[in-house]
Amino acid sequence: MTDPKKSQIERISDLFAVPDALPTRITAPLRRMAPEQWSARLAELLPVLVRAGLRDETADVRRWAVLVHVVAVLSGTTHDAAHASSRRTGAVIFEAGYSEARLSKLLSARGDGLRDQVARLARFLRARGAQPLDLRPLARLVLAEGLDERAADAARLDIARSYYASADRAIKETSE
Amino acid sequence: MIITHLDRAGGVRETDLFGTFAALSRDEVEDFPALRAHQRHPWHAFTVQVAALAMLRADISDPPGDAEGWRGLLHGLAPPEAWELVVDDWSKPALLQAPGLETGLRHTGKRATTPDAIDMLLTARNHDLKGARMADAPEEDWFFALVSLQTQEGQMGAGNYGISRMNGGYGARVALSLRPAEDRPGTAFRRDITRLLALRPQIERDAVSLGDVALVWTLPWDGTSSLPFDRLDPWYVEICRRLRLVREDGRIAALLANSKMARIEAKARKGVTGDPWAPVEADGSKSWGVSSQGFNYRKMVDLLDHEKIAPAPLARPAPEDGVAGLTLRAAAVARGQGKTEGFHERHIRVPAKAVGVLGAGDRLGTIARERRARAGEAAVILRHALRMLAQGGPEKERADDDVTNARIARFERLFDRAVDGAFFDADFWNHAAETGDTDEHWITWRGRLADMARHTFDEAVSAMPRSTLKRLRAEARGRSRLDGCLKRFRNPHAETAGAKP
Repeated sequence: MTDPKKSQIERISDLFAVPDALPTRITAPLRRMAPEQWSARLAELLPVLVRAGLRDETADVRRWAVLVHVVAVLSGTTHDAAHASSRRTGAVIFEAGYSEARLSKLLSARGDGLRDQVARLARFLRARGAQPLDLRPLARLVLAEGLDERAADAARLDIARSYYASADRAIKETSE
Repeated sequence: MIITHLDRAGGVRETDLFGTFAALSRDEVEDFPALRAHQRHPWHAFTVQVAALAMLRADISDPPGDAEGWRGLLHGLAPPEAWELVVDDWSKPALLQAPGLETGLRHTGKRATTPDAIDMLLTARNHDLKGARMADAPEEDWFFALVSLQTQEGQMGAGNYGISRMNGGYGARVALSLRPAEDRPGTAFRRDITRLLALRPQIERDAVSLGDVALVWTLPWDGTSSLPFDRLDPWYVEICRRLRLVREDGRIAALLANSKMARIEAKARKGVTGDPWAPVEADGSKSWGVSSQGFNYRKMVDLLDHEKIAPAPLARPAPEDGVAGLTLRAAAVARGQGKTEGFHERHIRVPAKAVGVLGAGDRLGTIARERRARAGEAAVILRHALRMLAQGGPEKERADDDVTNARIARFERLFDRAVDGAFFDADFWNHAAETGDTDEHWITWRGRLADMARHTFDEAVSAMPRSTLKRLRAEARGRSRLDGCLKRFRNPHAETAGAKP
């Protein structure tokens, strides 16, 4: 089921998008989980990570927990696809009505604050039916923040560029 | 007067003026250590002009290899005292010093006690190159200062007129030449003399007038009259100031006097005087000058553009130059009103395959112009992206914001320097040397410009101060703008075929 050529976030999304791939006793707690309660949900988290191919014993499970939570939220109870490579992160966020101020807050957040903002973003997008979107920049940001700031910055820029490109297109269309 | 040179084995040699000409003729000179950078061309021009004039008068084509031979040649041009640095009898000329200075000035005249006080570099508030430091200077320092002063100085206030071989008192005597492989003082000396003598018949045919005054300093000058231009030989060596060197307590000093007018009446010629190193506007209207910008790629393109600038005679290749190892050299001291704006110099190696297009036809100029135009387009793309970055990524950049323009100026200069370093690369010369035209060279150049623009933008992102909140927006919008424009710039004819710059 899992494609070895795909990134781990894509494989996690695939798992949640297929009915019966994961039992409800796994998906529901992960969907309802608060990111800071990740340690209480290891029994649900670890099987998902293992099935997605994460073998690295040094992996920061706390960071992966919020990413799994994001996928669970976006997928919902209807097994919607959370990830689509062609739908640029920033563009989807903009079109969903996510304000520039909230974007700024997301991209300037660090540590637990970032994980909290990412979780809020997922709920925002799900509420507006904006999924799927390219989750890879968000994944890179969450995994690199505080460890590899160049990579984290590149991810932030990736999200910002597609956000502002959409904003500028909208401005142009409005003025024409 | 002793002139010091380093020989080709690195040894220090001391000779007189005639011995120096002989050493140059024998190509034994590696360097003149007393020469300051801005004095090099005036010294070279002095030796070449004097040598060519002397050889022309003596009707010889091979320069003598011995000091006595040169003594005879130079004395054939002017009497012995005209080659002495200090001559007490002011009714006679001294080297680059005209007779006719009022003897009363020995006691009352303005004096300079160091050679760098008479040489031409005026630095703002005495910064950088300090003035009047060369106390106890040997005679050769005075001599080189005299050569520089008398043959390349501009106007410095009332009574201090400049040379005739430049356009206006605040112009520059630009020297453009082709230097041979193994560029040494002697090889350049011999090369330029040979070329001048070969060009002489053409020069005489083309000359509007052909005078017989070759060494202007040998004629008396009381400062109240100008020499008509038509009295001058095309290779004349001029002076522009009235002064005499004197010996006082074993040291040399200069006594200076003003003049009521320029030594040579040539204002209307606007620097078109037959200077064999001077580039001139193609329509012959005036000589070409240089500013504080120096010889950046934009100015060098002008110099290579024969529709715009006629190449200096000594910058054109000749069969005896061969094709290997040639260098195009441009040098000048830029000048402003009451100040100098730097000594500028540039060397560009000319590959063998491209020598044929130098000075022939307009292919070189056309390619250079187009490359410059593409660089200008890339600079505009970069400027817009930098403005977007500096202004925090607004919906619309403000073009007339002085603060922004000041903030991005150093990155624009960074880009300019990068372009300057890459402009005359191997691809440029390969392109010039080919007979057809293909997309390949233009795609390569556009690609390089795009890479340089992107790299400069990256530097700006790293260096520019900006608030965290606006940072990502600024970079996102700036980079999107840059990438979008550069994509079109790299291949503007992606939908059409054809070789276009």
